Amino acid sequence: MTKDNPAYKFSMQVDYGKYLEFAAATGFKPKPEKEMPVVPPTFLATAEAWLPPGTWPAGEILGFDLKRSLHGEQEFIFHKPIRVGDRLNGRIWLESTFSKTGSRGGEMRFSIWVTDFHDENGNSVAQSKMTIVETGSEK
Amino acid sequence: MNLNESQVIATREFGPISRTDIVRYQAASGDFNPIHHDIEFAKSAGFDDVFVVGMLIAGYLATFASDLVGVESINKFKIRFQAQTWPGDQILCSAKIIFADQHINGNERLVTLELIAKNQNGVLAATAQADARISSDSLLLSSK
Repeated sequence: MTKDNPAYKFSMQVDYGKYLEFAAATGFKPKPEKEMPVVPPTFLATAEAWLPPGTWPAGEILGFDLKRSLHGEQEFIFHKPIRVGDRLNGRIWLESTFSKTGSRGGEMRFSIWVTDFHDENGNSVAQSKMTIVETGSEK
Repeated sequence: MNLNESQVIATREFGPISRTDIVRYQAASGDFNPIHHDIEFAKSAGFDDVFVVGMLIAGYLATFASDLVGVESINKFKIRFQAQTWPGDQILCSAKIIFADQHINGNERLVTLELIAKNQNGVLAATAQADARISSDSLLLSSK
């Protein structure tokens, strides 16, 4: 699996209803639809809503145990502002995976997942990077 | 607001986070990991209760950053989760603003917001950073 051969592909519409829902959930003051507002910085987390329910790359591809996994880090980079009304194509791929010995002795596994977002003309508009950590089985 | 200041501290509070707030975020984002709303599942994973979705804390910090410098100006947002937060927790956010020395494109300037989120007991929940390009007259710091 690579950038050119992603694990998942999806298409998402940045719609105003989802923008309002996300704004309400995060204390963000929404703007009128007619302004085609720029979405808040973590809005692209809603890409998950455009994948089949239950999609979880770290579990499906690396066998991470959901009960022992944590979200370690998250990053969003914007090459242009993402606005209500945009249609985006997404590709999810595994950038790297590595292990460390945890403080309680078990093996901690790390995986870094990248989602590249392109507009309808194929221009790269944003990138999301997510670090998922599976803690050791020794609790 | 004097742009010659190299740093400004701003603060904002969110919460207390209810279970409904967690569910509202999960429905909005599409992340239905049961560990954040299904107490039986959370117990089976060794936790005493459900814990707050980290990305909700990220969303609060992103809202805070957006209100400080303008949502359109932010071109990078990065967060590292440090500790779990729990239903009933209050989230106290603070920001340090670091101005780049040089102006770019006339009166545009790069700024970095260094953000932290703590719970009501002072436990560090997350650290984050937002990079933005602002014009010198657009900073929206109306309160400390």
